[in-house]
Amino acid sequence: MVATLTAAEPTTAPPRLTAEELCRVYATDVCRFAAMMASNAADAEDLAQDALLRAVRSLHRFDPSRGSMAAWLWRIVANASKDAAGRRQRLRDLSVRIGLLTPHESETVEEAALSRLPDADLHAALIALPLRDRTLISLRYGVGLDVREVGNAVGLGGESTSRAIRRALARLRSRLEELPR
Amino acid sequence: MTTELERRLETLAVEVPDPGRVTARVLSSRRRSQGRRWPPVALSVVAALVMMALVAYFAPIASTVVARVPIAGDALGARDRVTLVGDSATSNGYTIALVAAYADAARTELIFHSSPVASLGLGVQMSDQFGRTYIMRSSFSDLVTGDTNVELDPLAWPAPLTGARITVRIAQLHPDGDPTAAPVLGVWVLHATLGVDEATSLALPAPATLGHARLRFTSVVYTPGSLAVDFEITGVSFEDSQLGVSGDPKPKPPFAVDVLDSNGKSIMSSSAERVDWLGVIHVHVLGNRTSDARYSIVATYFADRMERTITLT
Repeated sequence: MVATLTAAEPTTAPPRLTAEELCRVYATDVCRFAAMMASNAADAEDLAQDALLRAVRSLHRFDPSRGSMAAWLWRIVANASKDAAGRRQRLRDLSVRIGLLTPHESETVEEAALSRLPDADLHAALIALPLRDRTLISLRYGVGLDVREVGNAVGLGGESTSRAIRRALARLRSRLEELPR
Repeated sequence: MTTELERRLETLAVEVPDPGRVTARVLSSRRRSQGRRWPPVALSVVAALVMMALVAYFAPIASTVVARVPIAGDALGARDRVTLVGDSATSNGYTIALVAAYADAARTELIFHSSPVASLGLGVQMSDQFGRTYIMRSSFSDLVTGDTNVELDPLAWPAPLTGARITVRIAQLHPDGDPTAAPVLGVWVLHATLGVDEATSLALPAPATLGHARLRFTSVVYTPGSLAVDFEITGVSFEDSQLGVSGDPKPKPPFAVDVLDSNGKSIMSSSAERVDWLGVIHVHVLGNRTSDARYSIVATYFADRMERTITLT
C-alpha cells in the first residue's frame, strides 16, 4: 500500500491584523477624525479611544469576505461617534425642534472670508453642525476618505452620500456667514 | 472642483489626540478585559450570595408598603396612585420637602414644597438604587404656594418588578423664580421608595400624510396615570418645514400636535422631539390620563390636519 501525502492548500485569505497592527495603521486617522468631531481635546481622546477599543474587541468578528478592513473600521468609528454624541447631547437633542431653518446655499463667503477665518472658528462652526453633517465632513475631509468609503461608513449609497456632503457643506457655509465679521 | 471651504477643512488645524497614548490605553483596556476569569461555578455561588444579601436593598417593594394617597393639585391624572413621601432637608435657610411622587413606565413625577418659597428650576438630579441617573424633562414652580412639579424620564427596568429606591439631590434654588438671578446654593438630599405602574400597549393608529409629511405611529401605551404616544415623521426636510413662513416676522411652528380627552380638552403634559442619524424626526407626546377611555391625537402641518382616536382597552 502506498500512502500519498498531500501538501496543505496555501491560504488565500488576507492576513488578519492584530490589535497592535490595527492601532498602528489606523490610530492616527481615527484621532484626527475624533478631533474634528469633538468640541475639546478630552472628548476627542475619549472618542478615539472608545472607537478603537470597539474595533479591537470586535476584531475576531471581522469577515474579509464582506469588505475591506478600512470600511469595517470606519463603520465602527462612525457608530461610536454617534453613540458618544447621543450620550453627551441627549438633552440638547431633545430640544431640537422640527422647524429649524436649514441654511441656504451661498457662494459668496468662501474666497472673501475663509482666507481670514481662524482654524478655531472654523472648527467651532463645524462642531456646531448636526452630528450627521459633522461625521460626513470629518470622514470626507478630515480623514480623506472618498465618497464611496464615506457612504459605506454611514450606510448611504454613492449619490446620496454626495448630496448629503453637499448639504452639510452648505450648512457649514451658512454658519460661517453668521459669524461676526 | 475643490472649493476653498473644502481645502480649509482638509488642512484644518485641530488639537489631535496623541495616537500613541490612545493606542496604549486601548491595548491596556483590552488586556484588562481579557484578565483571569473566575470559574463559572464559583462565580454563580458568589452571585447568588450577593443577590441574597442585597435583595432587601435593591427590591424595596418586597418589604415596603407604598402608601397611595390623593394629593392636592392638578399635576397628575392618577391622584390615587400618588405616593406620599414627606422627606425633607434643610440647607442655607431653605427647607425642601419631597411631598409626593408618582412613577410609571412613561415618566416619573416628583412634587416638592419649598419653605420659604423658591423655584427649584432645572437643578433636580434623581438616581435609583442601581446608581442610574435620570434625565429631567421639565419643571413647573408655583411661586405663591412654593410647590414645584418636576417630570423626569421613567424609572428603568427592573424597577417595575422591584420598586425603586430613589435619591434626589438638589444643589441650588431660585428664591424669586428668576433662573438668571444668582441662585441660593445648598445641599438638599431626599429619599423615597416608589412602586412603578406598568404600561399597557395599544394597537397603533393608522399612518397619516400631511402635505409632504408622513406620520407613522411607533408606540401607544397607557398606564394608570399617563398616555404616551410616539410617532415618526419623514418626508419633511427642514427646508420644507419653513415654506410659507419665511416672510413672517414671528413664524409659527408649522407642525403642531395635541392630545385631547373625549370633551376636546387638552391633556398634554409634555412633548419632545429629536432628529436621528437619518433625518427621521421622532416625537414623544405625554398626556395626563383622566377617567376617559377615549382620546384623540391631533396633528397639524400648515393647513393639513390629522386626527386619530385612541381607545383604552
